[in-house]
Amino acid sequence: MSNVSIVTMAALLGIPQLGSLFTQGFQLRLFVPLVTGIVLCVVLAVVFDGLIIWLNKLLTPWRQRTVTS
Amino acid sequence: MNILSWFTDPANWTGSGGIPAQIGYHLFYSAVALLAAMVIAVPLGILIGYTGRGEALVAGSANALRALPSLGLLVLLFLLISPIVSGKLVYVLPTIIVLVLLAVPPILTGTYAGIQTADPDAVGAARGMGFTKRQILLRVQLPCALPLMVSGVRSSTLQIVSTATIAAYLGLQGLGRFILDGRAQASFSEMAGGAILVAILALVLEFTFAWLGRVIVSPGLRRTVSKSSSPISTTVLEPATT
Repeated sequence: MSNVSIVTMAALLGIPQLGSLFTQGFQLRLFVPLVTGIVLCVVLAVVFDGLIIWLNKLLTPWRQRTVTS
Repeated sequence: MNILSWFTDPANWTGSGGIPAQIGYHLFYSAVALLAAMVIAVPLGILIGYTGRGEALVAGSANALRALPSLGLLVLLFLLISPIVSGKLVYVLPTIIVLVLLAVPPILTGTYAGIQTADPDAVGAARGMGFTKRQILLRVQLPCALPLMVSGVRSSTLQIVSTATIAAYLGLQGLGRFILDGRAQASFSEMAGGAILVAILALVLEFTFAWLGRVIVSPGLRRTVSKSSSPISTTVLEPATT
């Protein structure tokens, strides 16, 4: 989860990804790219989380309940 | 070695933008954020651990907080705050808020988990000796929770110290200055130097907290304590392995 949010820091070095929306929003004083970036980031984190839980279920079928963290 | 020459250059060690000054700023922001986070998280954690209510809510929101990107939050808070407050606070306040949000979940989780996993035998014994609920909380459950609380504060501190570098993005001082300025001047030894300093600072604080944990935690709670030294307290107060 926190990995996805830390990746956005790379925007400070000019590497393009979702975090670039933050630097853009800061430079232009615009809310739209900023909020878009945050929402997309959280969505991406949730999707990854779901993916890992699904993969966990797939790989350990003998477990009745998946452990949620 | 370019990095080494950056470290040994006397010009980098003096003045308002020198290494000692930036470490001072960095520590200052980190300390303020950590204190604020503790003031928020410890009482709340005690309340949750004591009443056993709101645990799912807090665990869920703590997880959600982790997914929030700090940099985006920083810029968003800056844009929201900038019309309201003026002066230097407009940069400091968003930084502190972001760091506090980052630091609250580990301390909160450590506190309430520590109180809930306090040895039921010890709590029962205290009740049998006629302790009031308040005395049980203050004299049994809280000391039992201390190891987990300290480890929560430790992980918070690490996150704060490494994330405080983004304060430089808003134009504040701190060790992030070296990283961002180095980037702007394509001086990679300066960037690496800043990053190394942050890592060293984090390690030093980590060792400090490890030492602090040993000092303030009751000897009876130490898992490594030898049974022969004080058999009663180790068997009674040893916390349940989590």
